[in-house]
Amino acid sequence: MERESVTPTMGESVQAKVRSLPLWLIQVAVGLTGPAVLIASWWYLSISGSDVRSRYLPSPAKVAAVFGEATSRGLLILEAWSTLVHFALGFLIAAGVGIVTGITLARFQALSTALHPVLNFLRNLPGIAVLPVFALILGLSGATISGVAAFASVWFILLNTAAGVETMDPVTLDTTRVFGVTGWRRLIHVILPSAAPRIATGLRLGLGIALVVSVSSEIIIGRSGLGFVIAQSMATLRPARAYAAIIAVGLVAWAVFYAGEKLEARVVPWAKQEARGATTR
Amino acid sequence: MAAADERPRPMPTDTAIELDRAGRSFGHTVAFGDVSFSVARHSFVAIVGASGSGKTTLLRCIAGLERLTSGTARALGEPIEAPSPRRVYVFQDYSRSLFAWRSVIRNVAFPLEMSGVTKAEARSRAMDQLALVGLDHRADAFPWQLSGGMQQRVAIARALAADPEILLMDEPFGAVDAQTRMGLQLALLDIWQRLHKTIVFVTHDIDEALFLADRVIVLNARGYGLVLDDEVNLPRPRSHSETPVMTRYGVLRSQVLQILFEVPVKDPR
Amino acid sequence: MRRPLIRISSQITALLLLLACWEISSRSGLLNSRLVPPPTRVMDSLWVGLRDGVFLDDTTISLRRLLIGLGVAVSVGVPTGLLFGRIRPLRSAFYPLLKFVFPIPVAALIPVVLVITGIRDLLYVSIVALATGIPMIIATVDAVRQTDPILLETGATLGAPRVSLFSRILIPAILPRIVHASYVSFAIGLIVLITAEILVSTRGLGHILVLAQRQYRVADMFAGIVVIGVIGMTLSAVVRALGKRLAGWEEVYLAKEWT
Repeated sequence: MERESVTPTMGESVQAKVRSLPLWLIQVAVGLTGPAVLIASWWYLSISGSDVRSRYLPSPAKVAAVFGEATSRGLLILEAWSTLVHFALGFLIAAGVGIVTGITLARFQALSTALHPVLNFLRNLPGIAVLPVFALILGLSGATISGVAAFASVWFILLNTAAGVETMDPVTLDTTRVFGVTGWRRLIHVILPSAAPRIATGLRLGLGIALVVSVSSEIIIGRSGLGFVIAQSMATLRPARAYAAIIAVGLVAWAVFYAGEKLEARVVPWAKQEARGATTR
Repeated sequence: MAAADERPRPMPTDTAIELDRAGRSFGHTVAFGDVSFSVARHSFVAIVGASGSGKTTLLRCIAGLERLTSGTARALGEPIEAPSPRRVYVFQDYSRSLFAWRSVIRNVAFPLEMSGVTKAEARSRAMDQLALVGLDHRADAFPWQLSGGMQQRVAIARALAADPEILLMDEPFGAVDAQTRMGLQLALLDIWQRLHKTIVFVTHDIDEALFLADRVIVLNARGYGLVLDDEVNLPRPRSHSETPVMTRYGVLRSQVLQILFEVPVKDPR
Repeated sequence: MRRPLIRISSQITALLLLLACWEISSRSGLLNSRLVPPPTRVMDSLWVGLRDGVFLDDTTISLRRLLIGLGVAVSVGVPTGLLFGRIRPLRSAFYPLLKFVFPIPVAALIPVVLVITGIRDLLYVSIVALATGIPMIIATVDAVRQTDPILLETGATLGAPRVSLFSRILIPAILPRIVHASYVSFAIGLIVLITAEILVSTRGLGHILVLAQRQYRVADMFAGIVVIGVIGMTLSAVVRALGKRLAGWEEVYLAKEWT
């Protein structure tokens, strides 16, 4: 029900004029404005300007061409796969360790309180800061990248899991006692499902962090993966390739994000979306 | 009571609000239609209707928060086009209407600040309003710290602080318990009698309407307004123990029901 | 664990225990002490760094980059978000694009931004601004859109002019959400800054790590990590305290704010 607003927005007069066109056409056109503006300004910048710009800012057409070529030759896909492997390994380790430790911590409140400052320190430490150390210990390998990604994301998963289990409704717990459900069965059938939304939040955060840290690590020390391609392309003065890789990173990030949300909806359909509107990665 | 302010006013008329064949539709859905009545200044008018009868929409149109799609509405001699502090609207959902980031006294001071009064002056005048609703002792509390009934009183004090000619109230006591409601009704009548505002009060509760008002306007389910021909004419001050058992009360009640449900009611006599 | 004395002593004990285990493992050879030095050596290095003012200089540089970047992000992002939130055509045009760009790790853009800005502070500031600005805009738009319309209608009926609706009602109403988004932005900003500083290493906290790594001064590396962690914790606490001052009226008590 359209209500004429008390506080009309500036766009309403424009909208009135445009109302004669079919709705879907308008929506599509407007929705494309953003990307159109972006690509247009990109094109403009790549053509005009100094020599520096044209060297390092290839036109969108060129990037698209390189992207298409690299994809069809399977190169980008190979590197994307590397990135995915690095990231997935790191994330899965973090998830496993994080959930188990989180549950344990929640079970032994005393331990949880005692470790609070240490965990607080680790949560606020930017995960990427351990990269130089890991690199020293594990070398410039995929293991390092996965390791750093795991380290960076485990805290979010751990703390959210612990919080999810700790803040369980005492009524739920009492119900289990009434029905005589204890131990492992209680853990699996009652505690975990009850804490699932919070755990899912932690996993979602961890997912984002693991990906970001993986790509970042690849840029810094990688020998394979999309991050490596970006760094190497820029270093060897092939910017179009770097941009193509960045687009690939964007696509991978999107796929991961999307898969994460779908999974969350399937596994925890009752989880209420945080209405606070805060964006979290 | 706040001193008369310097805003220029049009020639005062005896009519506060005038609706002529007013209607509001959303596309094909009719909220209400063909409603005509006028409200005399300083009177207390209740609008009764079943849920979904468009009574809230009607009040919002009078407030200027929504526009009529047919007919006209005038207030204080001028067409109603936009919200105005001279016709303050008090929301049903007070918890959403009160400003969570301001304390009680600063909520009440808001309309005063808007009209250009200094912060200090606004605060002292707001204190007077709070005293009127009996909440001056909670001036520095925050809305979420108060009970529902108290929050609604803050909302009313805030509305009064705008020094309106007309007070438009949308089921303000709908969300409180019966006891609190009775207290609030008496408090409202007391304020009305002291300040001589024009009050238009929307409710689904027939008893509440009859208890409070001089005149009752009934919106039946089809959204078409019919005015109760007789004035309520029950003696004031109204009393919860005495007024509802008067004969005339029963007669009026049947009449309202009859209009509401368009069912002929047996003559109680 | 209710009495603070018990709580604090247990925390100190836990910390000392962990450090002790680490110390023993490192010295006994369980952990290669050339790769993972014992905490005592790390503390030495920490002390030297503090005493010589090494940490101080680089910390200042990093903080400056972070704060300027965040400042830009907030001062550009919030007004932009307000604009997009209130003007529908703008929102329809650009919001989808923003949501599309949002998941892309900004770190991927470092090599590109590098060639545009060169190796200067502007590089780091831009990266931080970009990484935190986009979530800020999105959060602001969401906050504006989710503001209860009743608040604005209340303002209108109470005689508030258009400008006041904006400044005295809309802005306070969205402040809690903006503050919440800032917490996250802060964390993201720090991560992205350190990443950039490790990748393009000229002064700053990331640079300390890289320099130590190149020279195999592992104790210094760990000391650097400790410093970064402490700064992260401190900043987080400061931001939260500030947030409470600005938007403390929200009586939303999170059970445990470990997210």
